[in-house]
Amino acid sequence: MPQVYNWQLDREVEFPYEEARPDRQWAAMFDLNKCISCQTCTLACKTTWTHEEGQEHMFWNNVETKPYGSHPVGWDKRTLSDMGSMEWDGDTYEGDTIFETEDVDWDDPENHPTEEDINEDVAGFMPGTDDWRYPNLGEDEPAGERMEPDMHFDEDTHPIWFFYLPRICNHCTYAGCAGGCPVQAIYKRPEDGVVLIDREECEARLVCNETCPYKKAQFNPAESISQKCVGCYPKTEDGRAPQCFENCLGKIRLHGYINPPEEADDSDPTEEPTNPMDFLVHQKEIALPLYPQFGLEPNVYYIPPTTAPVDYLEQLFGPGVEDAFETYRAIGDGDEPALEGLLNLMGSTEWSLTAFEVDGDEAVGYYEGDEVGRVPITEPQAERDRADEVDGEEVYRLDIT
Amino acid sequence: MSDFSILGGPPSKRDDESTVENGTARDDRETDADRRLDPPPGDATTALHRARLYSLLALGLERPGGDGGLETCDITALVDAAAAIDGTVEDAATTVSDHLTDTTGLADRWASLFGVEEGHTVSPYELTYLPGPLLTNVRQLADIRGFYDAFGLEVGEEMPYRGDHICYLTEFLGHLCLREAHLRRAGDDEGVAVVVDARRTFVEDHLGRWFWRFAGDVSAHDDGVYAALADLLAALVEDEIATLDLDPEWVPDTLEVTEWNEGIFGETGRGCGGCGADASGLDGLDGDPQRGGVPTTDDLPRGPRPDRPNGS
Repeated sequence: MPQVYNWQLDREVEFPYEEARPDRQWAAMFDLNKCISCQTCTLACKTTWTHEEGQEHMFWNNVETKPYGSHPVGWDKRTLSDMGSMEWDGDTYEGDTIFETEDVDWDDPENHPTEEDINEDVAGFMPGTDDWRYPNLGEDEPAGERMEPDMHFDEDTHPIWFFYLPRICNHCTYAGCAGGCPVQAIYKRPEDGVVLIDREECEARLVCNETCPYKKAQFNPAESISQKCVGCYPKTEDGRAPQCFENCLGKIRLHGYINPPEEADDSDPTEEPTNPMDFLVHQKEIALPLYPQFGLEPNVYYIPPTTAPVDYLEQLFGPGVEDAFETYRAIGDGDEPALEGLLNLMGSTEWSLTAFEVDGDEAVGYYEGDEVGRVPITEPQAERDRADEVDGEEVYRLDIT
Repeated sequence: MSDFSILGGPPSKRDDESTVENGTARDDRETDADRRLDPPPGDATTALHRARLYSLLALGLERPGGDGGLETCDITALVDAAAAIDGTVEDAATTVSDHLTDTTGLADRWASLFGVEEGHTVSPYELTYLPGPLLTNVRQLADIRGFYDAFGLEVGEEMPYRGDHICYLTEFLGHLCLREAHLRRAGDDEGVAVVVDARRTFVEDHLGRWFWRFAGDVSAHDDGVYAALADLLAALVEDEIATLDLDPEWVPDTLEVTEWNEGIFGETGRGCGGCGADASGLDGLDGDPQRGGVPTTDDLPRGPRPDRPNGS
């Protein structure tokens, strides 16, 4: 069987095509603790790329509320329910990926994606027209306990919780859309790993709509082709961050390029410029992939939200959630100045960051050797009392900074 | 396993690369030689005539009063230019000429029709006529500016209008025609093909879609020189459409509330269309029509005011 190595699952996985990594891999990091679901990213993308006839339902970037939100409806739960048990042994994934669920022998020519019914061989589903109708489904709906009038939350994990999950194409190393395309019209660019659909070759078979478990390949009925996020490559080729990054009001997004672990930049940013994506993902392991168990090695990474329960987050981001929390808390305690500086660099520049370093009490961002951002590592902050007494009653604050 | 790798350039281009390596040719692909355009039919003199007429329209549809306005035009030459193009165009140009014998009150008439001081009676801006919310139509503005940029033009800093103003569109078309005339005289067939192709696209994607709505609206509100200019614009663009064999997607014949927001936002949907502002919340704030509909505090709903906390 064809085997490709997936470092996020710490094992080889099955995929219809041989392993081939680009010269460098487009990557992103979103800090979910900062997202306020203002949807500016969504509109920045919509007005740039998907405002034409036939694209009404398309959101290459969307922000959904978890746990109850999903666009298209139930995109993740419906695929997860196809995949059966998803157990981890430490950092090694022991369950099936979407290409393994059906026990298909991908070496058998009859099972090749160019043959009929590849979609039957992969876990997942084809979203129907109605599934695209509710981009705001479940918005701001909390999970957990019932809210009582005198409640206040003292623990990091809140008993009542929700969080916002911004989603774009993950430009996966083993892209499910490309793996499933029966006419081989989808490809990864060697220079940056961006996954694109060749509109000249697309025959609108719609298999990519089904085999992308993130549902980011979407059919355009007006043009009769499928379309997807292009990673704003016309901008990134010039060093500029994509539209949804540049317009992010919460400054939750970082755009850069990531290496596989064995090639990762292990330098110390307090001593020399360091690849920020490698630093976040490989060195500090604070940013985690979304649904790594799908098996595609997605290249958008998330700092999980500390207010949500760990068991739920582990289903989304794998087994590294507790460690990521610990590191995130260390930032708050002032024990991770390089990380703190890097998180402050996010959104401070419209450029992609290929390196950063600590310079005294400032963090400095670079694109291809040119300085493109400089921020203080610790911003001045005022902290109020956790509780005030008002009219004889104690009034608690959720946000004291 | 196939030799295909998901890593690589566009599959359609990979085929092209392999044919080069193999020394074979694929007959279903257009080559650069195929794409090279034959020079479009026409001649330098006609192009020059068109340039003059578009320039006349640009000057005529701009606010009067500046230097170098309509009164500086050689009207006889313009009528001759129109005659060289088409009988309908000539008739329209002659009517313009007749109205230019007396230009008193022209500035007031322009202000009444197109000026912001009374609100546009007739909008001179393309975006007004396009279907759909402004939020998505701004791309058309970017497209127009892209045309100007491509030919090294930009709107002068002292010019007060947005890039989709009718006087800029006509001036740009005049510029393209003037370039065509020069290129034809220089025997530059490729250059001629480029500028004519740009004019073709610009008319089809922009002015050709809505000129008839503009001309109709002007004629409905004016019976003087501006109606004559609008008729000349319509005659010239119609001739362009026929000559260049264009098929513009015409805008709706009325200002329409677009399909997606119709019934939700009503006419307020013609705003930016992006924020989803709900006009129903403005019920009761319609104001007194005698005051022009501007709401005052008297129009605000009455109700108990909440008590303020102590000390605040």
